[in-house]
Amino acid sequence: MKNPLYKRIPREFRRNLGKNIAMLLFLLLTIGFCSGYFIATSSISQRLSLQYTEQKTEDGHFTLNKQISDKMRTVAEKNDLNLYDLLYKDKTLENDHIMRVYPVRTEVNLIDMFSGEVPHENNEISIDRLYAKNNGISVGDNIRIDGKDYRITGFSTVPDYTSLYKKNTDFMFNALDFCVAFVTKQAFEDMSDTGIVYNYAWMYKDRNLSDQEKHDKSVSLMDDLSEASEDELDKLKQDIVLQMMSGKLDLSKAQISESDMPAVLTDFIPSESNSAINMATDDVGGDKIFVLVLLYITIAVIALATAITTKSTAEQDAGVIGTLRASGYHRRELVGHYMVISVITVFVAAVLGNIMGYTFMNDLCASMYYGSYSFPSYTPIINAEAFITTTFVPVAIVLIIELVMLMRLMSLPPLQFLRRELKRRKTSRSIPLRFGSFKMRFRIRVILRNYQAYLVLFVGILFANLLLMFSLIWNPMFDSFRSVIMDNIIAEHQYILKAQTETDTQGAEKFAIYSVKNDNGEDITVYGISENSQYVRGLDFSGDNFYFSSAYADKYGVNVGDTVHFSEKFSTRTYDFKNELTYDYPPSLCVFTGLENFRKIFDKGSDYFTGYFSNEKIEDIDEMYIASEIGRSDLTSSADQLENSVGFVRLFALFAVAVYILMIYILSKMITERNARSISVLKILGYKNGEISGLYNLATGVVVMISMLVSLPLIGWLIFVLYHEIMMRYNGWITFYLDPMLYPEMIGIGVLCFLAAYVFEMRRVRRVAMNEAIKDIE
Amino acid sequence: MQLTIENIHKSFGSGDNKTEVLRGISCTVESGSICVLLGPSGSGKSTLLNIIGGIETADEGSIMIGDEKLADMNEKTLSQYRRRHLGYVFQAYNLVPDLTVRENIEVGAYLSDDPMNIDDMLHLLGLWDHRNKMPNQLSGGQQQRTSIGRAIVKRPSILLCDEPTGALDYKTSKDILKLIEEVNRTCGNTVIMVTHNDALKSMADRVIKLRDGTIRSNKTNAVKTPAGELEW
Repeated sequence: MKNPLYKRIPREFRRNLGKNIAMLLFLLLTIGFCSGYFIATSSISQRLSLQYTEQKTEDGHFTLNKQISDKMRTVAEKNDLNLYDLLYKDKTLENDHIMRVYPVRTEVNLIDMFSGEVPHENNEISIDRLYAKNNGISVGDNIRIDGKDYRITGFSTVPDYTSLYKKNTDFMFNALDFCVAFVTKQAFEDMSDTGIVYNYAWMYKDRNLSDQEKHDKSVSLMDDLSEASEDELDKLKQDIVLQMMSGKLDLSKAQISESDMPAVLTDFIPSESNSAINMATDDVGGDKIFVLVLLYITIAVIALATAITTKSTAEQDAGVIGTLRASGYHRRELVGHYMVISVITVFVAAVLGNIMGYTFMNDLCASMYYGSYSFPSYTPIINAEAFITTTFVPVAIVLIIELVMLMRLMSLPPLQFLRRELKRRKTSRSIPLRFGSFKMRFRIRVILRNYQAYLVLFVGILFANLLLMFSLIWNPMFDSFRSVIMDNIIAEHQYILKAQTETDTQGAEKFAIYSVKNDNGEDITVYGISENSQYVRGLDFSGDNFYFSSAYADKYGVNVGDTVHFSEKFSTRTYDFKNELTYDYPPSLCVFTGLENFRKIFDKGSDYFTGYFSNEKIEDIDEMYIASEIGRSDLTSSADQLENSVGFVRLFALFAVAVYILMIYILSKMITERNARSISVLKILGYKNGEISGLYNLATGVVVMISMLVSLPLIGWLIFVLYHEIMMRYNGWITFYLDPMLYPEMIGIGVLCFLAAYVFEMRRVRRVAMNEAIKDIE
Repeated sequence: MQLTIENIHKSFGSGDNKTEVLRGISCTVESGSICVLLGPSGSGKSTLLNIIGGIETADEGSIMIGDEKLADMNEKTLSQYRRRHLGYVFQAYNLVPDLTVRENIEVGAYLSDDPMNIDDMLHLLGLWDHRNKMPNQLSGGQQQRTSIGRAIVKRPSILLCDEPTGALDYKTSKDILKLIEEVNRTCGNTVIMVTHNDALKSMADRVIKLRDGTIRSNKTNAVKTPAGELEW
């Protein structure tokens, strides 16, 4: 015979239909999202892992300031690798966007078409899918480069630009105004050489090298290339000396021409250090822990809330439980009976959530990544781990929490149930309350009597507020960052030159930059600033002082007087800079020093400089001498891209509101039901529904307010720590800013959530019948 | 099944607050008989019933049901013992609120390998017309009938009734007592009934009066009065 108590379950489910449906939907969406996320990420990861072999991802690349010589190529290839020309041309479009144009690839970093086809004609081009999406460009549109129109034949993805980093040292990738494009080989050659970069990719002949072996080989390659360049220069010098000695060359003409100078390494990036290759791959896996923690905390909070309500139901059934236990029902039979609804609810939510995950949620979750990264298309793959983590683990969490709570309750002897004495301590002293009005004392008693439920509510509010703040923090922070940058900009234009060129532009001021790396391997720019600078004011640049930017000081916790160790990127030379004063400059991780001191430290000539600061646009320098121009929009582009990328985080606000309402609803419902008899008595005594609701539900309101006030500063601190941890993963820094208006905003949201639940509870109090007080009285 | 009670002692509290509720109770209840435990509040009759039911333990002494000694049983065997041999009826009916009358009786039937026919039981209890009603749709008497049905449907050897008419009016109380009497007659189980209503002693085979934790009298009735003829 089946246990007849099971017949109670559907009725019990219907009796609490609102609560159960709300819980089911909430869990369904949470598990559905997490399942979709795991399926999408594992499928994308699997697709990306195939790129290495199928699309022949490079093992690294380097750039030279000119075409590679045969000798350098031979030296490089001695390192058991194949070297491929991967020259590109950075073209500025009419809208000032940069289009990096490559010829169609056939040997390395092969193209995978997301849609459309590769260009076959010389007036055709394929561009990055994400850039096209961000700029509303479709296949078939035309794009104008150097005055010539190219028809877009498709959207391409390549493994060396899964995230669109213009430079590896950029703080963020940039799919808003930077694009990678492909044209035919002929079309590439026909384009002007403006913006050409001599870029070379390598692939080790053995594609199964370990990370350490790859690293060792890349170090060896870099040394060989540097030495080859130096050897060529030495040879040139020797030739000149020999020619002079033989009288073939006059001393006044003993100079190596620019065209004869050997190629010099300007960038060297092994694939393991290439953000454009690794950033997206790391990110796809990197959020997994965060989502898992989010899922398990959500499930645990919901499990605690349901365990408390299940326990409350069991307590209300104390007489029945006592009788059944006295009649011979085993403890486990009753524990199982009271757990079954919660466990079935979670199980159903988990199974349906997984179905959602495989059918449409994976697309939704994948779109979060496809909105930031240039991935090839993927196919959802069945994932056992996703099924276990989103089905068995949530069910197990609910099972364990309910089991512990109910086993503890059911361990009481049957007699205690019959007597309704369910407290373990027989004598509980009441806390004397000799202050405040009757209503206030009544509410305090309600809180004390239901302290377990309110503790769970506090945990739920803490969690909901954490999600809420995490979702709301970004927009004000990016706005603040942009505004701070505008207020602290050095100059309207910063020009970086390829070769030293003079200008007559009014107010233009020379400066020099040099890139070093700190002990964390992050690239840091050292600025050499002219004495009495009109642009970097308030600092003494006459001596050998160093001034760290506030961005650097914030990120690495550098104080005035601290000395920081730096090293050359492509040599073993090191530097120690002492921070004399922190300069308020949030856009960049950099160190300022006097131009003279700069030249001395980096062994530069007495007239060395690399660019100009200017508030006016410099018109008298030929574009071919300008390596890059940095304006206001360039400085804020990282914030723009990051803002674009974290857009989905705003969805957390909805999730947080759902947690808020659900927790308040479930727990206040339980408190009303638990106190139904007292409420009924109050009605008999003549209390109005509003007054009763004010006593019971406002007690919940007080707990909600206290929970918010206690949790908000704690969460502010937690978010700061979390933010710091997240940002340390990136190059660069965006100053943390917590908008003070967020606090009242969050309190407002909390109050609104409470009021929404309050309306339901008002109805519930109204429905408590007066005969409740005289029913089942022993 | 014969019930033998030997020198039962039970006290609550400790130190100055220690109260001895039962002070060496010994008696025997014959198989198939009705035994009424009478006594004022605090005399220890409910405590004795709970010790017989194995939901409370004696400090001293022993309870033998047939050949089985309660003190030798652990939690699990005690639960099995209750499952096999005991039926409980309380003053508060303690019905499962979300189950119908019929289903509440099924709750008792589930515990037995050979339960009574539930339809017969519903007719016997006079609940056939109410079998699909929920407990909150029933009168107190109907609820108590249901709880008796739940207790006896599994054919317990001993039916323990703790103030079964305590919450009922005169007429309903008599109906319930008649039912208990009929169950005893038709099923042959031993009935131990705790009450403070002195009039009920006439329907019992054995009447044990308790006061201050001791037996003041232990008598058998040579002639029983049918429950329907009791007056108080």
